[in-house]
Amino acid sequence: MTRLVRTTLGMTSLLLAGTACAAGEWSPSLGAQAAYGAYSGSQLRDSFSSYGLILSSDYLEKGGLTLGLNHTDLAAKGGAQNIRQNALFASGRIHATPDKLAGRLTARLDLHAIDNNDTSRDSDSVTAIAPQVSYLSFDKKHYYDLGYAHSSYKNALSVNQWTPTVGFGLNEGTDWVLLRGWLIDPSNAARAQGKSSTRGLEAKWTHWLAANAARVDNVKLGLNLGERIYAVDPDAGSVANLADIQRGGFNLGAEWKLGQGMSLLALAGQDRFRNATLANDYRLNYAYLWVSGQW
Amino acid sequence: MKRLATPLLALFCLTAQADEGAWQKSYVLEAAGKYADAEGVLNALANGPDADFALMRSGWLAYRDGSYNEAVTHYQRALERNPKSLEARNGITLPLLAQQRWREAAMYARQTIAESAWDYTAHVRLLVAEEGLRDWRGMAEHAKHLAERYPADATAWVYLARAQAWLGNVREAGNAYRRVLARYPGQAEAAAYLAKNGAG
Repeated sequence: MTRLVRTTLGMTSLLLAGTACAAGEWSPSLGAQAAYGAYSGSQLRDSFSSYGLILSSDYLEKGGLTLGLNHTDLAAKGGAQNIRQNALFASGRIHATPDKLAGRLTARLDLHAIDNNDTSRDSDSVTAIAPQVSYLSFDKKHYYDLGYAHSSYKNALSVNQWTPTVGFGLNEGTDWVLLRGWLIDPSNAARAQGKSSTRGLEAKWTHWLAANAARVDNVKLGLNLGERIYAVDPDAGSVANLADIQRGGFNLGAEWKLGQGMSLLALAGQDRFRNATLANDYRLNYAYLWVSGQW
Repeated sequence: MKRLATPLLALFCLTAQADEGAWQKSYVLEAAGKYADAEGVLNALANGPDADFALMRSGWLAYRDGSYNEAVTHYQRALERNPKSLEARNGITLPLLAQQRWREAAMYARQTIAESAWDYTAHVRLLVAEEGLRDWRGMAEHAKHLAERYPADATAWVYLARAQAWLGNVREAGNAYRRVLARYPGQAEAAAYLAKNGAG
């Protein structure tokens, strides 16, 4: 739901964390997330709250599965309908290490299913399928992925999305920068705020800290430029199934390693939106918590 | 009978000589850096009494040649032929570590350790995997135990020092690096750490 289900940001941590815990043939992990956001300047939206669980397990370095369930409550105003939504996310991945490449190839397939009480059905019964191929060099200095997503909506709308991505490590691995292009093409402009396509760029920076008294493992900064609508986020494992156009945003976060495979991520940010039908520009200020444990 | 035995004995001697020749040729080619050729001559030994050894050696040569997937396959086939082989288990960790398949390498190292509790090679390979997994606490504990068993060995102390450094325990890391220098004077990593952290 717009940015509100983007709150599965911790999915990224979980998907990547499969390589960072005690060794075993299967490495299961469980994460819990919660988020709250307040809209500012919106004629139709007041606030949202969200919570969910994500279970993930990787088999050695051969592949893995992730299953996530998220519930969201959107409090509306201005006569709009309150939305109660459940989102199911399933993801599978297999890895290969061809000798010709100095890195690991990953083929991944994500499936999304969203159910809510939207009486118009515009945002209800949404499904999405999102394959992705990625490459990460062994020295962790180069990352590339190409993602595609096809989303199916009720009331004559489908959405195709491409997300070419590059990532690179800097400063002997203490910094990580990810740049992702968002090329989204809704099939029906009348159902997409008059947009037949949107283009956006996302930048993420993670900086790992030396050992410190606050035990902060890393800090994060995210920046969104351009426009996105109906985005399927491969990192967040979420679908933005409300029609409003996201017009940039930023977030700041920090992650703590709590020992015994536990970690905590706290994130706060602001996204800007536009409801073109109402000519209503508004903002969403949100906070997000993610706790995960591996065993 | 004598007429029959003589040709059989000759055949046996010829086969043994051929096997010995193949092994020798393989070693010579390896020494010349011709790993693929060295592996190729071992094909003739694939069904002999030392087939599992030939497979392990093929795995080693493929590893030296940078053909890590092929090396893994050879070591796995060696293990299928001789499931008790600790050498094949230790061997397969090499290409797996080269491919950063840390968990898989750790699994085989642990299998060796389960059979032979303080197998040095398996423990060092496991330390490498733990470092790859960034399991600093586990690595520190493991390196400490290994250093107790092999007190003259610098490697265990290096891994203990690295783990302590990643955990932010500067004093403990410095102490471990000093133990490294006592065993390996001038060791670059230890000297650099101690110089940087004012403990030289």
